[in-house]
Amino acid sequence: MGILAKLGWRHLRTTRGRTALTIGAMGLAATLAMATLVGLRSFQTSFYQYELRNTGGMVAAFPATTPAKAAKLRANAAFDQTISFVDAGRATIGTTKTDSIGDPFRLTVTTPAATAALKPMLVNGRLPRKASEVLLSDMLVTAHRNIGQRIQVTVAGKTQRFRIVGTTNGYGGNFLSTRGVLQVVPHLPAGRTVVMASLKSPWQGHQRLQAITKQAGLAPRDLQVNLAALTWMWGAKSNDSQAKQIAVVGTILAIVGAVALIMIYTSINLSVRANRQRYGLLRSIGTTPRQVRHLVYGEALMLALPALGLGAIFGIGGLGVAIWLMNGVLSGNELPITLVLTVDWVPLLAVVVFMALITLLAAARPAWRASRVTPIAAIRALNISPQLTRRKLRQPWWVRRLPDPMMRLAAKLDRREGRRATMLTTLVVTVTLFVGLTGFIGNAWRHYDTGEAADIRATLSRSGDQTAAMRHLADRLDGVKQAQVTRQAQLSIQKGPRGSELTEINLLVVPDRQAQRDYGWRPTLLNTKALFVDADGRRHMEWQVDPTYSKPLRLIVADQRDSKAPGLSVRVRYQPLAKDPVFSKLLFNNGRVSLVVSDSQYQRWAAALRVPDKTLESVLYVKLARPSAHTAVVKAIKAQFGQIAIMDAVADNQQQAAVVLVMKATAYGFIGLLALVCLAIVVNHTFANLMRARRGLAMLQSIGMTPRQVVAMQAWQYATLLVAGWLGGSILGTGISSVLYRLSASDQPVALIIPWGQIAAAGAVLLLVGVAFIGATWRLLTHQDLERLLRAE
Amino acid sequence: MAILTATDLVKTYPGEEQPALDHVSLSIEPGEFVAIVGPSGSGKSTLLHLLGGVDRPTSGQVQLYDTAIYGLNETQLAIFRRRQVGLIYQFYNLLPSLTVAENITLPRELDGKKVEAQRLNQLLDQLGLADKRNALPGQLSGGQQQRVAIGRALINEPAIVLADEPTGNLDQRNSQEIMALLHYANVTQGQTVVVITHDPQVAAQAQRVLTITDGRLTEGA
Repeated sequence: MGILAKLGWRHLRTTRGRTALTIGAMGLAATLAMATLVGLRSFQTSFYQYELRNTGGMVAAFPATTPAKAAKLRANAAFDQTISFVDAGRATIGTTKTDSIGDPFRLTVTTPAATAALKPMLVNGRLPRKASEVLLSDMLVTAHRNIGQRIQVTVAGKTQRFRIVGTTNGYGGNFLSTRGVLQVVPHLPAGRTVVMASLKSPWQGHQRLQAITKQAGLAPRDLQVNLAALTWMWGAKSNDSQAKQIAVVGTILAIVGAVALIMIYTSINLSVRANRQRYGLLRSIGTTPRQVRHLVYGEALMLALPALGLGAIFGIGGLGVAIWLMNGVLSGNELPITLVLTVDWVPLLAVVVFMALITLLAAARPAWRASRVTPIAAIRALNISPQLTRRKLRQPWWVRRLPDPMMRLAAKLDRREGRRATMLTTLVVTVTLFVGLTGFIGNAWRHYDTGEAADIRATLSRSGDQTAAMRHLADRLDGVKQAQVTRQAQLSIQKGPRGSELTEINLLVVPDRQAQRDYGWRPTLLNTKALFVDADGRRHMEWQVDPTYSKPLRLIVADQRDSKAPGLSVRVRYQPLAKDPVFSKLLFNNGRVSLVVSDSQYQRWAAALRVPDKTLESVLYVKLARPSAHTAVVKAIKAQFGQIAIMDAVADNQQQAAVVLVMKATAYGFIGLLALVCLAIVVNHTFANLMRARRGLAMLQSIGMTPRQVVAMQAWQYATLLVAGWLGGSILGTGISSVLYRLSASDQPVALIIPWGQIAAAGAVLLLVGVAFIGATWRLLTHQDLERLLRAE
Repeated sequence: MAILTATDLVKTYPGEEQPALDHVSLSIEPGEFVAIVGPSGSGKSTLLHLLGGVDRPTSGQVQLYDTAIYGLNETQLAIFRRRQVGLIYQFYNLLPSLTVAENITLPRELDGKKVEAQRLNQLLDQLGLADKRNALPGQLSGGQQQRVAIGRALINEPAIVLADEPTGNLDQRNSQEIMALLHYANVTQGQTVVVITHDPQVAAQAQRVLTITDGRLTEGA
């Protein structure tokens, strides 16, 4: 060990209190960096894995090729895992050759090696275990073609019988269509083969996959890649989503870097200031400025090592606990994502390099300052008299009116000696950051469960009129508060009040008896309000269709707006949706306008409107008596109607609330840590000033002040600093929160929201800090050696 | 030929009208033992620091052999102090985290040179610190700490040793020991020594005594 390293090491060991304080402060910065980088990496890999589930863990599917080329592809060293599928040709299922939109069925064959990859695509049932079992596309499920039933499949004139054991939602998203059946056999037959692969490393994955495709003599344009997954790992070719991710990560790292830089700079700078005499002494015995700079850099790097250790323990440990808690919330709400703590070399190396660079950068100015200490200044230990202006020497009225002499002395000394500008600014910034950002997130990321609309909406399309069956089912459902069945179509206003043209309308067809009872046979427009922005930029809610308009509305089928369809003129009664006896709790109050007509009225309109019968949907709206009944109700509806589309608002709300909770926890954690680091700067500064003021305090004690009086005097100084910082930061933070919320809120008028919770939390933390300051001061004063301090040069 | 020559040195501190040193010139021959005496605030320490290249004058020059030391830049001046000047202070100014041996060898190690064990042992013996080589300064008496400071000043065999009130903080017995050590270096090794003191007994042991009053230097006590 060179003499400079030895000097640094010994110095750090002999000034343990300061060293521990500096390591603690740097450790906090390292924790922030570690938690941020490992956290980002964990989110990256978690979402990568989540996206890969859609393609069975495979990143790419190569164009169909010969068995020989497929074998060569599978041998590529870039791949972690590969699977193959053979297209056995067009299939006839029973007597049907195509699905409802005319696509031909196919028989696809794979081996048991692919079954793990098939699992995520399984909708119902299980995977095939023998060659006589198949998976069926869930698009093809009917009452006579479902799990447990047998089907006859004919391919190239050869007919086989299979048992359906499961349904799939189409393997690999767009990778491979299973608009047909999928069979698992021990050995792949010869035929056009599709190879799917996962990469060992997603780094530049897209480019490498394209190169591999080209090398294999296949057309890169036919390569299918799970870009959504690769984008998370920044392995896609440049795209907007990836660029946004990089920008967000860059911004977060810049913020973390800036805060860590300030934190470490403050720590090292305080250490250098406290050691001015030592540097002067070294300079007097011949240490060159360069050697002094190296000494400071060396000490800073020595401190960075244990700080990194602390960062690893608290950053990764804390993140692990946070991810565990978040996974609990996600799985408890049946969200299909699991966050995985990823501690690989990329974030670890990044943190080490990041901390080393930040430490060297932060040490640069203190090192330069240390090297500029003149030997003579240090030898003489010159007490530099503060430059006091007349204003500072004058006692303002509020100081003169303070009741206690200790308070007056404290205020006087504070004005004359205090280096409060930096600390006050840092404190205000800290509180502003915390209150402003958490206040904004608390408001903006709120989960709005209005409870206005239906809890469950089940829609059957292209199935004819199913309303009678739906009504029959609704009568049998348990836990239902209100159920309403309608036939439904989408219309739009061709001619109506100003501003309402092209407004889309839900046409709700209700039974005649209900139309007579609740609507007096009159076509009723259930009007809703929407947010409008006037020319001055003011936001206000207005009726979507002006209810004072007395002329008939001209309506047209929504998807025939551009045709020359005749449309239908209708005189309607206007009714605010919120006051409607039937639909007020089933439709969104700020959603689409609806028009209620009776069944027989609709029959008369249908010809004029030319509503294609297949576009009419049968819809069941359900408002539950208790939310917990949603699972049973959904199950009962599915059991009767098979492929019905169901919107389960209770489940969606639970999932949305869980996602919001996880997002909030992540953001609060990051902002909290950021604010904590900033607060540590203030704490570090305050303790450093206290250590520097020890001799001055000893002098006060020597002339008769008791430790209690000195502590009271110090407490006054702490209190004024913390209260000023808290008030200033809270006011600024509230303003920032409000401005951010105004900028982000687009769907409703916004009002000033005061984040009282965050302000109180910041106040509580500062109160704790104040108590800690007072405790530390009391301990220092009651344990210090007055004689030694007073004799010290 | 003089080892150290100061020519027309003036030092005025910022904000003060009267100069701390007022056109001081002196010359010191190799192997001389010189004492500079004077009342408090007369400019003794200021003169010593200017001679040692610790501070820079307002005007004037100091020459060590042929080198005009204030023509050197900061790094050159630091190396000059390290190799050519041994400084001893009233309050020792040792590094509290280094042992006795490490404090003594510090200037040599800063030069990137190893200290021969024999040389170090010899020096420790001369200083009477052989049994304290691994002690920290905080574990030593004032006299012992000052002996360590002398060892540090002598380790590089500098051209000149400058001592600022080396006995000012010591009792009579320790003062005598320190002076004996400085004499020993002067007599046996031919070391040039300049001592600042206000103690007439210390000054009486010097070959030549210079008196400084209100920043002006005169020969004799």
